Order: sequence, then structure tokens, then C-alpha cells
Amino acid sequence: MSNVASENMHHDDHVHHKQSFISKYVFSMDHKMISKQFLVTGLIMGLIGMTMSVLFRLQLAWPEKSFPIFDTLFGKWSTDGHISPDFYMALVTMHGTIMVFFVLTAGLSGTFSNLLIPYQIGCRDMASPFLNMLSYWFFFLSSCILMSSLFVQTGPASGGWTVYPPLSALPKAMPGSGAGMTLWLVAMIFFIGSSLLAGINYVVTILNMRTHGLTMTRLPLTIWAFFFTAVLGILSFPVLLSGSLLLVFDRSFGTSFYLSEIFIDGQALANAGGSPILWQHLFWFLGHPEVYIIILPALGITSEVVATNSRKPIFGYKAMIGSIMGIAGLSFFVWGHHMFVTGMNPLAGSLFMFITFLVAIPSAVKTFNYLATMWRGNIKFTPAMLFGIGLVSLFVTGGLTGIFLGNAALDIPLHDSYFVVAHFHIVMGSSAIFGLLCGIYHWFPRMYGRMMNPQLGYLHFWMSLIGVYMVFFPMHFMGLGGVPRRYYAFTAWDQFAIWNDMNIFITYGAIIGASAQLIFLYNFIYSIFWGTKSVQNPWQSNTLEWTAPQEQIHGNWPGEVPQVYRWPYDYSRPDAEADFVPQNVPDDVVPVGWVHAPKGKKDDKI
Amino acid sequence: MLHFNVKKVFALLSIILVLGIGSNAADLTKDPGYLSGEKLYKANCTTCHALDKKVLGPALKGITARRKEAWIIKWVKDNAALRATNDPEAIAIFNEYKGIPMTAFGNLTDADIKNIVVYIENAPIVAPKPVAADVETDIPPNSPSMWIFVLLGIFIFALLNLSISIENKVSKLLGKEIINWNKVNALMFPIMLVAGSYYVYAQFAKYSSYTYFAVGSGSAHGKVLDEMFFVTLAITGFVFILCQVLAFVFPYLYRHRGEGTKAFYYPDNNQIEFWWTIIPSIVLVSLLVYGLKTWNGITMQEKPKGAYEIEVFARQFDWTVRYPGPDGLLGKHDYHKIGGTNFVGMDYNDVNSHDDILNVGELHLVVDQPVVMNLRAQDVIHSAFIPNLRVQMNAVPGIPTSQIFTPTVTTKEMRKRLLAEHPTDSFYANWDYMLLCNKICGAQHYMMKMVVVIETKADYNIWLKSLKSPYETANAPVVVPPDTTTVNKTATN
Repeated sequence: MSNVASENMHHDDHVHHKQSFISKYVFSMDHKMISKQFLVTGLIMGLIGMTMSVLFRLQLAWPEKSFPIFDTLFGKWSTDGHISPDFYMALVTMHGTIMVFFVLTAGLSGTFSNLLIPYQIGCRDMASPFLNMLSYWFFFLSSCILMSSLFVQTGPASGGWTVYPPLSALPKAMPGSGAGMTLWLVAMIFFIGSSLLAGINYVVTILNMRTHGLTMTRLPLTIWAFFFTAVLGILSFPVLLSGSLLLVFDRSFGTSFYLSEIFIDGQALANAGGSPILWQHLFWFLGHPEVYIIILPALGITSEVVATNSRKPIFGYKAMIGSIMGIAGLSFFVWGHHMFVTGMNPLAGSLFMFITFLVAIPSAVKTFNYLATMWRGNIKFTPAMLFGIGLVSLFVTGGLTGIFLGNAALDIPLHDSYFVVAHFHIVMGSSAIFGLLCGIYHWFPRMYGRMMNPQLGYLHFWMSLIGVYMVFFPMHFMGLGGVPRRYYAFTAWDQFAIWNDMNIFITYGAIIGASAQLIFLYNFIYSIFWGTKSVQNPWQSNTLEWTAPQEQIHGNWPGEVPQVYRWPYDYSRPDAEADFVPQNVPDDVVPVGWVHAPKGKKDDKI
Repeated sequence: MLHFNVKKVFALLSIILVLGIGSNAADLTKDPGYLSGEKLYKANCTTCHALDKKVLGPALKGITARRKEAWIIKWVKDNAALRATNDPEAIAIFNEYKGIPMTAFGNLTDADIKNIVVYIENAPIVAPKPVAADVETDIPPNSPSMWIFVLLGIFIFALLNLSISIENKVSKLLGKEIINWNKVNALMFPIMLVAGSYYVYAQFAKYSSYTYFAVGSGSAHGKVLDEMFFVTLAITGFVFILCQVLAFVFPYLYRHRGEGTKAFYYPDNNQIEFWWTIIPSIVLVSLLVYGLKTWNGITMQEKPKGAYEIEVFARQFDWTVRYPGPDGLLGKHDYHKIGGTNFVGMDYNDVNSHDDILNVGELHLVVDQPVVMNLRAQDVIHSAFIPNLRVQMNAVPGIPTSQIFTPTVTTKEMRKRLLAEHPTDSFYANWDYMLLCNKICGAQHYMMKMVVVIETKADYNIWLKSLKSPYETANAPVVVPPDTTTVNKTATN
């Protein structure tokens, strides 16, 4: 399935277009520009989401103390330096929504799928540049709508990022369930549109537009990860779309999909026959694949970066692909593990628990493969590599607590406690953020033609690692102390007073972690304009993106697109002089295949 | 209002006269009305109100100056009905608070509300406890010092940045790195491993005794869960240590040591991969079987012999328990019937509901007797979570849920255990089991709680006898001999 067509089509096209500012920087159809647009928008959203988290951490650490900064920032949502409880909930909800969808889905997948798919498979651009552009602008619109909800009179959505009805369906149940919730739903609908347009494009591009010689088993693991991410998105986001539409109907047109037997404000509502649990099924049918939509690209990026900087082939390439497939496939049948205590049929709970445990197997294989890749390597600690190793550490820590929570019986005392907060923030929050940062450091030279300052990168990494473990590790203990999540304050709970100093400690961790990200932002912006110019292949990597010229041109390569002869992980081959053999090096220069695969599989072609 | 003050003065006078001692305002705290008001206020009002400041609802001090008593009573009992009469005050306050209605307290009588008002107007305002005063200086609470903190940060960063650029320039001049950053980073990994190990150890040492495992579970199934937790912890702990050590030692051991070195080319080994797929699978499957057995044991049981049923009813933002009364049967319910004293919507057409007893904010359970806890919610999803009993189940509007469990440790016994664990902390002498709401249910979600009392059968019966069913209270003149109805009901059911 190589791509003769795309090559011919693009051969003399596009290269010398004179582009206006609008078509080059705003409504661009070039995958490289769109990737930068996704990245910058994602980082801005990330900054907002992170700031929110620091602010509500201040509230949690010092609930009785007055912070005038709240009055300045939040106006009437704060009195005498205290955030109101409903606005606290709004902050938590917005933080979750922004981080999960806008930063770690669009920001991570949008940036790197757009940048790397055409580059690494050796094609000129996405299958449909127009849909690609549309995908970004849907995302942008969605971000604007979500942000605008911060300014409506009743405040933004505040029922938690999972917006369970009836809370989210009844404006009388909570101020945030008014106009803010409508905006949340509209924002989500546009977001899903964006995600679907992008996903279809990624899948079509990867399947149809690979260059000569680039078989599926020669794809870098990044592309495999992006491919399955896109498939997951295409199959699961529509379910949330329909779920959201039903919620819109319930809220605005008097239907009863999620509502039944409700008495609120002195009135028995007429809604009958609906089920609030239905929303949870629909939501988590997306929601669980969603966490893999977040983590798979991060793992893909890490595979690439760890192999490159260990100067070793990724260990067990085929097992890695198998694990990605396994995780992606199983991820569709585990959503119920978010719902063990909803009163769902216990038999269903057993099945979800069974499949949830199966996911741990490919995850374990991936972890061991990363460790084996570093074993006897020749490790160069670029900032990207540091974040890659950090991701492995976080993935282990967070993944193991999943074995507690995936166990339906153990979930009874742990559900919705801080143990859960610790678990998912480590395994899919922080580790995906580490994957994102890993990718930014690694491909920054490809995107901007300059290097980021490595020393600031080291500082950024070590502060982030310390910050993450300071924030989330202690939360396990709080969870085991029965401390529930999404509580505005524990001042009324004498039995939780013991955790006060831990809350303060965690907030210090959050401040350290957030300061580290400010260093990163400084480094990022400074390096775009004034960083040292990079060479063409600064990390001596094998993949195709580094064969394209430094100057970014429309169509990526002048002349022919490179042809691929080998897999992307020929690092430190004993029969080659250099410690890397790029994918476009022909067979007669360095032979293709593994040099010493065990048990006589010498000629296994890759 | 006048009536009110006369009552207070009378109360004071009688105390002075009877006891013949000098008096001041503090003596009001012995007034039964005041005391009952205090109890009711704390049970019903503090979730959304404070005396001196706005919480979800307005500050209540001075309420008698702002509103008439009759209005207050109407408002507290059913503010929606009051608003329906186009009462301008009621509508104004409803709009002021963004259209979020106050809960209707049909369970409170006129006398109750009057007592609460007595309490509100006479209660001393307690200054907030200084929480963690020793760290007061670490994060400056007010703006100017916060900015100093921020400026200091920027200054340090600027210095760092300057030294980095000097280092870069010097390296460039000399043509080689003056600091071997690869080595620095490589060294950081084992340092972090040691620091991290100490950190993990210190956390365990400091906080293990405050997790709910320290004193064991208060329920039968909880013991099984705790055992399983520790088995899982041992297995995952081993993998955690193994993987973290490797992830932090490999970078140091296999760091790049200068030009000309090459990594060991090792792309695959099917045998190793086979084993590290199979071994985790076996371990996981064993944990899975263990977990499934436990899960089925907890959830798939029939109503055990000797079990009694109760119903926990949730609304924004309090918990109510319905006990079946002498007949042992909970009557039917219908959310259309919610209102007045029947605020959980019992269906009085079902005679079984006539003796059902309601109690807000306190759940009593019998030790060593299995209980079927049925859950219902009026408005949004709530979740009944009792950490020390390892009990959690959502209360979902329109969908009845339930959980069966057996408390095995009385409140008194658990207090003893806690005091033994933390002898210096007197708080544990008055410790209580708590049921807390664990599914976000609105702005005051964080205040929605209920005390759980686990006691002997004898104590439980005494307590239950002290309560009256709302139906019987409302229909008091019609005296039906309770025994005959009970017999008939149990016979037909």
C-alpha cells in the first residue's frame, strides 16, 4: 500500500506558492503549521488548567486563610479572599475538562500526529489538508466556547469533568448546571467534531500514504501509537457525542433520557423512566478509551525517544506493537470499572473487572521492554530522554495502583477517594504530560529549527519529577484514610484534620511543579526566537523526519520523498560504523535485518 | 418576637429564682429550648449556613431583625410553597442566591424552628480554629508578601539563567563542555532513588497509622477486603521496587561515557518476553480469582438470616434514615408524596409505612447483625461511603440500590482501638463512624455527612423506641392498637 499516487500528485506542486499571512499562519493547510497551532493552543490551555489547579490547591491547603488573589482573579466568586464552594467545584471541573480533552487529547495527539505522521511515513501532507485545518479550527472554537463559560453569570460547568446527570441536567441543583453547562456541552460537541475529523485523516493517511518500502512492520512506534489512538477516537467519541446530545435534550427539551423520579425545589418532576446510569455508560464508553487516547501517543513518543537516546533498538518491537493493539482492543470493554458502586449488576462488575486485569498484561510488557531497551545502552540524557525515563517511572507507579482499583471488591472502599486521584493523575495525567514534554523537547528542532536550552530542560525535568511525586504520592495515604475527593474543605471533618499538614505539603509540591512548567514556557518561547540553530539531525535519529531539510517547505522534501529500506531502530549495529542507520539507508550499504536475533532467526526481515 | 423575648426572660428569671444564684447570658445555654435548638441547628443548618458569614446561604445572626418569625417558619418548612404564594421577600432571596433553592425541612416542627432561632440569636461566635499555625509564615497569606515570593522566584531564575548562559559561552570558548551534563544527570538518578526511597519510607512511617487499616475494619466483609489489600500491596510493592530501582539504576549504569562507545545491539529475545508475559499473567489471574470470589461474596448474597432492612435517603445536602418500625417492613415509597413531615415520600396507602420511623443525620446499626441498607436519592446522585466499614454504594434517583453488610465493632470498641493506636490524641475519645457523601452532589457536597452509631441490640432498641413515626404523630388522635396491625401485616406478607 505505498503511495505512488501522493508522490506524483505533489511532485512539483506547492513548493513555490507565495502565501499570504492568513493562509500561512492562520487558515493553514500545512500539517507542520497545524501541528504548531495545536501545540500553542494546547500549551495555553495547559497553562490555564495548571493555574486553576494551583489555585484550588491553595484553598485545600489553607481553607481558613484569606488569599486576596482570589478576589482579584475571580471577582464575585470570591469573598474576603475565600473562593466560594461552588466556584471551587467549577475550578475542579474546568481543570479536569481542560487537561483531559484540550491539553492531553488535542494538545498531545493533535500536535504530534500532525507533525509526525506525514514526516515519519514519508508523505507530503495529510490525506486531506482541508479536513486537517477544519479539525484545528473546530478545536479552537471549542476552546473559546469552553473559556467563555467562565464569564457567564451562573459560572462554568461545575459537576466534575464527568458531568453526571441529574446534577448536570438540573439548573436548580447547582449554579454551574445553568448556562455554563450548556456551553460545556456545546464545546464538547465541537471538540468531538474536531477529534473525529482529525482521527479519520490520521487513519487514512497512515494506511494509504506510506512511502516506498515502508511496510506496516517498519513503522516507528510513534506512528503505531497514533494509528491506534485515532482508531480509538473514531470509535468512541461518537458515543459521547450522542450522549451529550441526549443530555442537551434532557436539559432543554424536557426529555427523560437520564432523569427519573426527581423531586427538587418543592416539585416532583414529571420525568420518568430515564436512568442517570445510562449517561455513565455512555460517558465512560468514551471515557475509558479516552485515557488510552491520552496515554498511547505518550508511550509512542517515549518508545521513539528512549530508543534513540539509549542508542539501542527498542526491545521487542513486535511485542510493543502487540501491546498497543492489546491495550487499544481491551480498552473498549473495561468502562464499567468506573461504575462498580453505582448499583450496576454485580455480574457486569465481575466481567469488567476480568477485562480490566487483562489490560495490565500488555502494560507490564511495555514497561519491561522500556527497561530492557535501556539495559546496556549508551544513554544520552537529553531533556527528552529524561522525560521519557520519568514517564516509565510514573507509568509503573500509577499502573500498579490500577490493580487495586480494577479489583471491584477493593474498589468499594477506594472508589472516589484520594487514592483514585493519585492513581489517575500519575498514570494518565502526569505521565502523559511527561510524554508531551518529552515530545516537545525531542521534536522542537524539527518544528522550529532551533534547539531548546538543555540545562533549563534538566532543571525543568528534575523539578517536575519532584513536584509530581510530592503532589500525588501522599494522596495514596489520604485515600486509604477515607478522604473523599472533590471536597471543598475538610474543616467540618475532625477525623480528617490529621491530613491538614499533608495537604499543605502537597500544595508546596504543586507550586514547585507549576514553577517548573513556567521555566519550560520561558525556555519554549525564548528558544523559538533566540535558541541556537539546530543541525538537521540533532539527535542522530533514524526516522524519516530528520532527512527533510532544515528549512520547512510545503511538501516536506524537495524532489523525491525518501525511500525506506529498514525498520527505524537500527541503532548501534555491530556491522555498521556509525551508531545509527537511518531508515533511508539502502540495503547494500548496511544489510537489512537483525544481526543476531536469538535462535537462528538471523534473517528476520524488518 | 415579643412572645419570644418574654420566654427568654422568663427562662432566665426562673433559673435565677430556682437556683438562687447570680446569672449572666451564658446561663441561657442551660435552657432546654436553646440546647435543643443548638442540636437541631448543627444537624440541619450548618451544611449551608454559618452564624456570621455567608456560606451557600446567608449568615444567620440577626435573622429576627430581618424577618418575622412566622415567615421564617414558613420559609424553613417549605420555601418553594412560600415562593409560590408570590411572597416578595422569598422570591428576592431566591433570586439573590442564583435560583438555587434551599432544602425544605418538613421534619422540623414550629417549636423546633423557634428553638433554632433562639440558638442562632444567642450562640457565641466561635473564632475559627487556627489550623497549622506553625506554617503561617511559609506562604504569605496576603498579597504584597506573595508578590515578594514571586519576585524572589523570578530573581533566582534570572541568576540561574545567567549562570547557564555564562557556562554555555565559556564551554564554547574552550571548545569543550566545562560541566559534563550527561554525567550530572546520570548521577541524579541514583541520588533521586535514594532520596525517593527515604521519602516513601517516611510517608509510610508517618501516615500508615492514620489509614483506616491501622485499627482494622468495623465490618465482617471489611476484614476480607483488608487481607486482600495487603496481598495486593505485597505483590505490587515488589514490582514497584523492582521496576523503580531498574528505571533509576540503568540510566546511571549505562550512561554515555564518551565518544566511541557503542550500545549492545539487542533487539529481541522471545524467551525473556515469553516469561515476562506469562509470569505477570499468572499473578494477575490469581489476584483476579481472589478478587472475583470476594466481590461475589459481598455483592451476590441473598438477604442473610436475621438481617433487618433500613433505608438511607439522600437529598441535597443531608441524609435521612428510615427504619421499618415494629413490623420490620419498610413501606412503599413514591416521590410524588414528598412534602411536609413526609419528606422522604412514604406512600401511606401502604400500611407498612405507617410505623416507619425517620431520623435525620444519624444512622444506628446493631453490632453483629447483618443489615440490608437500601438507598434512595431525591434529586441527584449521592453516594453513601462509610470508610471504616468499607461500605460504599451510590444513591441514584429513580433506581433503588442496596448493600448488605454486618458491622462487627461497636463505636465504643472502635474508640478504644483508636485510642490505643493514638494515645495522645484525645479526639479519638469522641470519635464516630461517619457516613459521607462521595459523589459530587452540589456546592455543599463537602458538608454532607451523617454520624453512624454501632451499638448493641439492647441500646439500639432503646434508641429506636425514643423515635416516633411521622404518620403516627400526624394521626395521633386515631389510636390503633399497634399489636393487631403488626400481626396482620406479618401474616399477609
